[in-house]
Amino acid sequence: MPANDRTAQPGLPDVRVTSEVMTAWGEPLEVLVSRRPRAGELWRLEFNGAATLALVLDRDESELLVAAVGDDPEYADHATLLITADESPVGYAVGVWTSVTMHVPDFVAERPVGTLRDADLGRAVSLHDWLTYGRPCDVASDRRGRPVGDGHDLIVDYRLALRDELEHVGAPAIELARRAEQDDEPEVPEPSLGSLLRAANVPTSQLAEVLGWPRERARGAYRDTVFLGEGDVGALAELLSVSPDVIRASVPIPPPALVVSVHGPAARASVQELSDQLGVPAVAARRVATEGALALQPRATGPRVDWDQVLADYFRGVLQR
Amino acid sequence: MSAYLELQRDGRLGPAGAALLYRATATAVRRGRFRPEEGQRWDVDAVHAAAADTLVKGGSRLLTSLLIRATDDDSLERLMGAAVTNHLRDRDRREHRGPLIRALSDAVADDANDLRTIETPARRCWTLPTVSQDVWAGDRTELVAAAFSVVDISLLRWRSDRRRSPIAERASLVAVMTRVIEAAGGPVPYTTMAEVLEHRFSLASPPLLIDLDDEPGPVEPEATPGEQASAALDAEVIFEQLTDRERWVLHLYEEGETTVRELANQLGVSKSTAANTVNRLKQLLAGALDDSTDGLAALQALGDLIDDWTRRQGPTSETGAGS
Repeated sequence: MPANDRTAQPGLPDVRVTSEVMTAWGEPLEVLVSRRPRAGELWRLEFNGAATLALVLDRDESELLVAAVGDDPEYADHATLLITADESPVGYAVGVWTSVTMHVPDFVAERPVGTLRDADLGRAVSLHDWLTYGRPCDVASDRRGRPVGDGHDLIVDYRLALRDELEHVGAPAIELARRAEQDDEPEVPEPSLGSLLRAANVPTSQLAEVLGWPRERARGAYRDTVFLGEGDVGALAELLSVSPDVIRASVPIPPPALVVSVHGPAARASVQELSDQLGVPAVAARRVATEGALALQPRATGPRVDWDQVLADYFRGVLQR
Repeated sequence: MSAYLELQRDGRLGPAGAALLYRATATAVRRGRFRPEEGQRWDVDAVHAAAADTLVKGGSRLLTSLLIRATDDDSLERLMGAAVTNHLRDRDRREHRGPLIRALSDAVADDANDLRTIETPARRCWTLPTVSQDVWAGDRTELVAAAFSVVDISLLRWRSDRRRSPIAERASLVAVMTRVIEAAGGPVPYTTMAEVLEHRFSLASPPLLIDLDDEPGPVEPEATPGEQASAALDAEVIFEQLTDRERWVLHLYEEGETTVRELANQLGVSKSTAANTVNRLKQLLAGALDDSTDGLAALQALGDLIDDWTRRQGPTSETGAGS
């Protein structure tokens, strides 16, 4: 998706995303499907409605060891590798925080953004090993941030903020991956949204009209196969004369294995296509696909559901392949 | 089209992105209680100028980071708000540089210490008799590290609008400046010393998108009783001109319900009625605030009046706000 040549918005300067990142963002979908994060690559991690940028330091079969990447090299501690703008894969100077690392499931790696030079990956790993294992480290001081001063040093706050950002993406994904190994059923709370709608005797047509939904989605709400955005929560609360918290508590929680699949690399390109088709961000397209797959696969007992296959069937239908 | 999708598709802000940035800027200005530029007041043009300045200062780095760290329009607006807030804080702090240097000069002049001021052909510096005559020119991070090596300092509340405002106890200031010059091994220019001490005393430029401040905004002089009364009066005049529905719309804006669809849902009216109400409200507020001596203070006072009014109405009245 190359930048077009439209003029800037009136009153605003003509500022653009760096060409490096736009090029990475425009990677063909067929390539996107086959990409697996490798050490030395910067990836956009996305999960739970949050996103951040991280360097992959290492990986095993299903997990990545990532280090947070900060946009403000002025804020960098002694274990942070400074990457100058000339050497940066994103087109501006960044800091790789080896003091802010996390093991995350690989399905949170949503989009490759660039690759560090081999020498810089070596430096980042060296700093990480120095900090973690006390191994010798010969990364020059001009390639690193400065030692943290005391509790008043804003670098401390910056590091905490980066850790929060990474954990906001990684922690729920770790929990979900763990549950995906055990559960395979959507969790339908009681009272469910469907039972609330039936008790209030709201016709499908009215529900569709009030929420601006297609009829099929409104019917899905009665079957408890619909997941709601915050805007829908408010409208439904008003419609049913209950508090928004009651609505939030009534929405089914999709099977963890399905959420893992819809975030996984196999679904990556299809989610992008659906996002383009619907004109919504990928995060919303994933929610639609999750609902679609759940509606396609009636809640079954017995053998484990192959959600990758169900999603493939769903995408084949909606993307008219 | 979604502002985030515009950014993703074109690599720049489109019409929806521009509108989102303006809205995020207006919210940041209101929440942060930032002062307008010297001799100006916060109006639509000033808000648009602050949005443009944020974009100029952040440049490609800002837009790229927004693309990477946002996931939809809501998160994009939140991050834009943080960027604007940090930009306005930075603007205020840069204006503090002069008062900060004056405060350091006072500390050097008043205390019995070895610090001296010297003037080189290019700039003024602080120095010590024990270091060389060569003006320092090196890696600033080393000086910042030296500044942090002084421990047990006593911080005081820094007020740039008070010429003699202290930043820390003078003895602490002198100790930090002395350690910095010793680390530099020569005279340190005023501006460099100010930058180093800004880091040491948590006054450095804020990051791009991360909010590190606990406080809602920079220090703002208290309004005089006369100014407060004037703003309250302006707010009452505006409040009396509003219909109930317009008051509910203002309340819902405060609550974060900002799309026409959300407002229509909340008010129990059609989207076109909600849109008409918003447009009428904008025209009315723009005219009324233009006549006010302090538009921002009047807007804040109006917010308080709206809060009181909605509390009196009770939660069940919301859907029937159709007057």
